[in-house]
Amino acid sequence: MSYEIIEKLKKEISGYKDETQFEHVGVVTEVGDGIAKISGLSKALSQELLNIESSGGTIASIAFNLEESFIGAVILGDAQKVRVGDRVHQTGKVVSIRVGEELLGRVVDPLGNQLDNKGVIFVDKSKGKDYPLERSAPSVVARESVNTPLHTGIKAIDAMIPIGRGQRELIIGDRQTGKTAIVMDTILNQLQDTRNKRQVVCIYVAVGQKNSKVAKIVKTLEEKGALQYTVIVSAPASSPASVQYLAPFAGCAIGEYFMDNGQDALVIYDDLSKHADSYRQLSLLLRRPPGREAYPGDIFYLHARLLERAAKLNKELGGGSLTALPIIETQLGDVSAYVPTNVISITDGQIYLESDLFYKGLRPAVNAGLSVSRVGSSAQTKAMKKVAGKLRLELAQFRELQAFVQFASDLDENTKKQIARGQRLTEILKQVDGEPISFEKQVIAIYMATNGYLDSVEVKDIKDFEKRMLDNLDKLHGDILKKIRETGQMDEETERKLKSSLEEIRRV
Amino acid sequence: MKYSVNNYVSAFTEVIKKTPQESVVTSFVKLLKKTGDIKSGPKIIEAIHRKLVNSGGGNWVKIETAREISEKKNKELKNNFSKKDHIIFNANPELVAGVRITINGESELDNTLNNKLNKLFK
Repeated sequence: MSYEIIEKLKKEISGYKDETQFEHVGVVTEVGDGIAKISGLSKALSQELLNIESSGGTIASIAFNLEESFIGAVILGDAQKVRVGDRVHQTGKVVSIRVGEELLGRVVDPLGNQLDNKGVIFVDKSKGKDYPLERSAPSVVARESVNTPLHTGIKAIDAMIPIGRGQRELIIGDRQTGKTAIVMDTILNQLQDTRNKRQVVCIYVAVGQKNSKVAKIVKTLEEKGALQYTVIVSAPASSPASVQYLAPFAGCAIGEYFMDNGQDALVIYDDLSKHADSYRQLSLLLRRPPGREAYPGDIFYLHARLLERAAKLNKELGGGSLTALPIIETQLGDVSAYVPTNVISITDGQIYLESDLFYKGLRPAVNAGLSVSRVGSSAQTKAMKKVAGKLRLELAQFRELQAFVQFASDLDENTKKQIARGQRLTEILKQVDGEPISFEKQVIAIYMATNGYLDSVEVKDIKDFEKRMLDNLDKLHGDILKKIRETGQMDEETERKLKSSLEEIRRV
Repeated sequence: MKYSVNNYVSAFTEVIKKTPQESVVTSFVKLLKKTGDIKSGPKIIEAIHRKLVNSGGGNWVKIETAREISEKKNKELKNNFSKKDHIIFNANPELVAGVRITINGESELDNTLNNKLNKLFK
């Protein structure tokens, strides 16, 4: 062992080049709560990476506040080791993360360090690329309209609130309403959604989450075989605010690498409320003036510049895409709070989850009336568009009549029928989490519901009926499912075949 | 601190430029006592001194060595700088060997063994 050490030292010493020259230097004059005040370094750039030479080694920090006589820097490592008088050196670089295919299946922190004990990432340095965490969003000319669907595997979403590749769709709701369950299903569904022949790379960014929750997510993805196309960026609740602040930007940089390579990527920010809280903490410690709800004035810009980086690139740039699914946790359903309204206005639509619906047993607890997708419908497959139009209309009518359900006996036949249909439609949209359904099966299920195949089935039996019908259709008439899957369409011939097959199976 | 070091430095240097009298210094010390910032007096005085040196076209030079160096060597070293420069000598055993020169607290020439060893084992 000592021989190896001596050999290494000899090698280092023989290759050592002494190039002493003047360097810009600063000194830590104040330190506390993860923030350092540094004197000197008058030529430091905003957001530049600064190295603090502490007793415990070199600790990275970011120049946040450039003031007349000092710099306010955010410490990225162990702030306890930084002392007043420590020297600080400029690096001339901004914070970046090493990205590449090797990140797939790994759990990393926002600086790219592994957290899963599966060994060093990028042993071969040439295999990765350094991507800056802060980068400007693709310009108008670099983009094209969203035109490919990103199926979540959830009937209520894929039918009524469709998401396109390159879109930004907010998932908003109170605690314990199934926000993370929706994104988990979306990740799992990418395993079976092979219609476009392009595997969507998923990046799950956990900001301020419990380590136990992240561990559970990793386990689920691993068990279901979804970890192989997923990267998890974790900045748990125990990590410093500076690391939590960087996490979404790191996730976005990883997504951008895949987008730049012509692939489709999906980045999930779970959640941006905690991200806003961490930025508020940093800003208040840096003595930036507080604004509404004590958030700094640039909180809108923080989220806007992050979410603007989600894009669908044009064909000249490879045609890759980065879809963003930010999550916002509301307090008692208050969507008019500062951060929720900001993110609602930035994104291309929202999936609104309600506690009341959740406790009524309607899961996923999506409020179809308040949820919208502003660009996704142009990416929806023709088959889904065909069946979903009717679904949306009938559900809207049902919502209007819902108040009269308790007077059902006094109503005319037509209204009774509409209520019965609405109840069946609501029932068919219910889904267990962790079991996403392929889009062609969703089309068939919704087709059955909107074309009266469920009218004679008791509401409580609908789940079993649907399962039986879909299983039998898959076994006996797999060609219909295959055709819808491959073409994304339901032409007259397919519809005719489907009708006769459903009749046949129903008789069985 | 009620006021920042920079505020005191700017105020004092501007007043002393207009009325270069001893009474200004006395009033300044009284002000520091009044504001309770007298504890930071040495820091403020050094900052004022530095500003005066810089405004006179000189540099604030700090020379750190691992061991104390003789008066003779000090003089020899001082002669290498301009008369306008203010030179401070400091012994810092952490440097192990060699010399570290810092100019105006911003620019540094680190030719110490400590720095070389750190670079070697990085």
